[in-house]
Amino acid sequence: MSHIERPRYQCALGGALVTINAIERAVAIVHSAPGCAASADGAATVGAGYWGSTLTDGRATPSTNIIERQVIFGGEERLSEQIASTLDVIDADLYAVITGCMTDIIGDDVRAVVSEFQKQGKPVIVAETGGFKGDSNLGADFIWDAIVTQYLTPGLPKDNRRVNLFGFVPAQDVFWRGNLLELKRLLGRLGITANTFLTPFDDLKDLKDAGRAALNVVFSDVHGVKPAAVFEETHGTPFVSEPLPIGPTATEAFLRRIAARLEIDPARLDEVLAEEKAYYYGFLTPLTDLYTDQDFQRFGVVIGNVNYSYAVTRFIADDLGWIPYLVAVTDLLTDEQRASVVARFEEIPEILRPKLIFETDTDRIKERLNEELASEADPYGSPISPAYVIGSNLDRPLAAELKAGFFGISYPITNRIVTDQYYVGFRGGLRLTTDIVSALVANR
Amino acid sequence: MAINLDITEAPTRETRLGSITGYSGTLKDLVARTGCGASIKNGDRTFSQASSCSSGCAQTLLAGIVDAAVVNHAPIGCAGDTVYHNIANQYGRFYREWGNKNIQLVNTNMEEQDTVFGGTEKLREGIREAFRRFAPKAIFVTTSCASGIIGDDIKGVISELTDEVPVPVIQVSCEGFRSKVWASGFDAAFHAILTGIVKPPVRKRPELVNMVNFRGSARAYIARLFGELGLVPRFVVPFATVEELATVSEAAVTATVCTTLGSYFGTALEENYGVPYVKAIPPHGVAGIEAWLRGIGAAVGKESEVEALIDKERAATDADLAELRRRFKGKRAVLGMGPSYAQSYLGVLEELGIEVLHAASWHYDPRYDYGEQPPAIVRAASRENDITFSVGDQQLYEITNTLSRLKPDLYFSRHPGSSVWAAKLGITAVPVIDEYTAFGHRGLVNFGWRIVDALTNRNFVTKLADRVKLPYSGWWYGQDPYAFLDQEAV
Repeated sequence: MSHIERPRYQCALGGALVTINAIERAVAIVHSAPGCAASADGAATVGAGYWGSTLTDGRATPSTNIIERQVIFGGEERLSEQIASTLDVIDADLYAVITGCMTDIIGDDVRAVVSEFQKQGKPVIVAETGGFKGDSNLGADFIWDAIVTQYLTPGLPKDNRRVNLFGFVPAQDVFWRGNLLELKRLLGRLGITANTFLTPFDDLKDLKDAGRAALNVVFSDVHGVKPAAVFEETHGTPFVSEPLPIGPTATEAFLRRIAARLEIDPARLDEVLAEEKAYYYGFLTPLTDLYTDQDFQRFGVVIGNVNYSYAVTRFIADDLGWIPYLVAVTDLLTDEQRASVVARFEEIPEILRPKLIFETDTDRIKERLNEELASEADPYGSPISPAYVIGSNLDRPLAAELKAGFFGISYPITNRIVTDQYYVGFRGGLRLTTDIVSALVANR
Repeated sequence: MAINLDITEAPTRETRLGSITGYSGTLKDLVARTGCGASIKNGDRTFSQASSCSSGCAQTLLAGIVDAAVVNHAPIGCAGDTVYHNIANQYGRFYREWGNKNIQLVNTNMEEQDTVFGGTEKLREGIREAFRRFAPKAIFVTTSCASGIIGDDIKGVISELTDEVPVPVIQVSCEGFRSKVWASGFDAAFHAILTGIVKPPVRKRPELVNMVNFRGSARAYIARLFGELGLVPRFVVPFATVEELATVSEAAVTATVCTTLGSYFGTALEENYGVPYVKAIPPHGVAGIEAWLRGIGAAVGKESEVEALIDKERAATDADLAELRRRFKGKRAVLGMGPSYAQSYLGVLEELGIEVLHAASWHYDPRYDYGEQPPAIVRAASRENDITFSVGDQQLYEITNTLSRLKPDLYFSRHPGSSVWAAKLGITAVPVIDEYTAFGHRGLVNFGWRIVDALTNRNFVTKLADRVKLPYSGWWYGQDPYAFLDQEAV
């Protein structure tokens, strides 16, 4: 993979850092150069609709701030000193040592340093997250792997009505908090207890005891899959990969699969589905006046990470009745990961299946879209008029050029704030419809 | 020592100026220890929190040049903060009514194998691609810890591409691990502009002022002030063009709103092209703007026009200032800012009648490149009352401890991510993010009224503080705020 224009993610260190920051009473100890933690955290929190700081992140993140001297002589002593002082200064229950490019290149033995503290019974874990290893998503995998293998209590009995929800990388999914809470609510209605870990209302105890879950649900075909496999190996909990369910069609399918797997009473399932669908259509039905009067069917251009690009495409195809034209997946992926994304898109009926591209560069997405459009001779003008772009803040110029509607749902989002909004489930689909269509009437 | 434009890299501030990031003592003591013939040893910390990176400081300037491109030779994360730079860019473009456009930056995506086998091939491709994609008038290649440690031959790649990429391609050495003083990144950017963009003057422009700043919000105000002196400002670096930067050598004078930002550039232009650099205290508050305007006036021979302008501006604001001072009687504050602002705002708050209990400076330059101590701190230290003064690369645990002891009415801070912690303590935090806050007589009055507003309704922070627990242990609040700072006895 070559150069990238204005990356839509942070490095591995950044993904690990924000994951820790999203866990209540967990704190990161960054072993890297002075600017790494603040730069990664700043990018993630600002780009995630101005998420902001939680317990001790942002500029308050404990960090060794190593410089040239340690590059020459090694930074292990400095790290040991910093862990000891952090245990005194910061009142937390989980301390995660994560590393940057420099310390990984010079080869500090951070595991040996951390093991000294682990031997004393201190709740310190470690992950090598050098930025050159990959993006935020990979860094999140690294830190989850460390949590699963170094922090979770092994050997707990299983609770067959308990699941863990994985596959969310805070900030990369700008709406991870709201999405997790809504999934928890929906599953709760079926009598399933869902651990979410990454919301402000979670408790480290649930994380420590996560091995009790009968099933891990990974809401991604890529992100979180590796640590889920490690989880299965270490704690014996199997996992399933599920697409992020947005809107009634995807959510019903998701709940039916989970209910079957956990042997939920079918009558209860039908009751919940009927109520949730009634809510969706109770609000959607009157919107039909506007939708049909104003002719609001659109050609969709969807730009985002693996999770959102598929989920949004399904929603606009299955529920909104739009025509997905082009989807750009912006993650850094291995060939194997790409294949799993391609396979997922093949589940879309052929007539509605969009052209799928993998492209990390904002301007290249525009170039490739234009190539695609040029290949279709259309005597009446653009073959995708009227179009609508659902992407990130970086894709506004593309939308403007297409004279298309625009709504930002993938990272970075900097033109609105995000608190408890969510797009998953029946109600999330309603919210997405509301937001997308609102953008079309915003100038009236 | 004169600035050397024959070398590729600007030496860091630690090397060039003896700058420090660790000190705790008093204002007068610091000035005495860093005066002529004196020297100060930097204090190290055994507990530290995140600081900032030189590359962010370099890129915030360079990515703002409207027709240049940046190739960031680094792992992707080093360009993650372009999200931030893009916000500043889009906001600035919006106010200038320039239309929505992203900054022009490509990251070379250095991966694990590049740290072993070298990343020059990716750099070559990155430069080519930036040229093809953006058709820029200049390309800045910013470096990173990874490219620096493995020692990629950036100069070599640039020289190979001379024919293929027919615009200036300039190395910007801003590796984060070289310096704890993030302002070293400003110098790296200016060094690149000076060595690769700025041309010798073709003609002299006696009306032109190089105005070194960040976002340039006070363009209209400055244009009016300068207009009365027959001068025209040119705002650099963000939102300037390559051509505008190339001809800064033709200006009559260089002035800056932030001496931490502008001193390297201003000094170099003075030494190399005879463009005088205004070495006055920064233009915040009455004393600041007056000294600064007099410095400009002296440089261009407009002394009497400056005096007339100062009289007019004073007359327009004297009454408001007296009213503000009355309202602020008994109000106490702590401030935490970069050195230029920390020093300058000691004067600003004094003019408003707000007592400063403690000042924290994000680093400290014992002298500037032209060889003298910063004038604003010398001025502040000449007052009768001394105050406690600390130097730290933010280190919010020290600030939080200090605030919880002193319980000031107000916390004034500059730099994103710093005021939030005071707010969570229930202290009214007034951020000084716009560099032209308290600029000039009128800016001072506006700032005063802003503080009045902040004090008028403190509900947001008081209710927040009831709910929020900060991350520090009870033990820490019982310690001296600088307990982890290892320094010579004060």
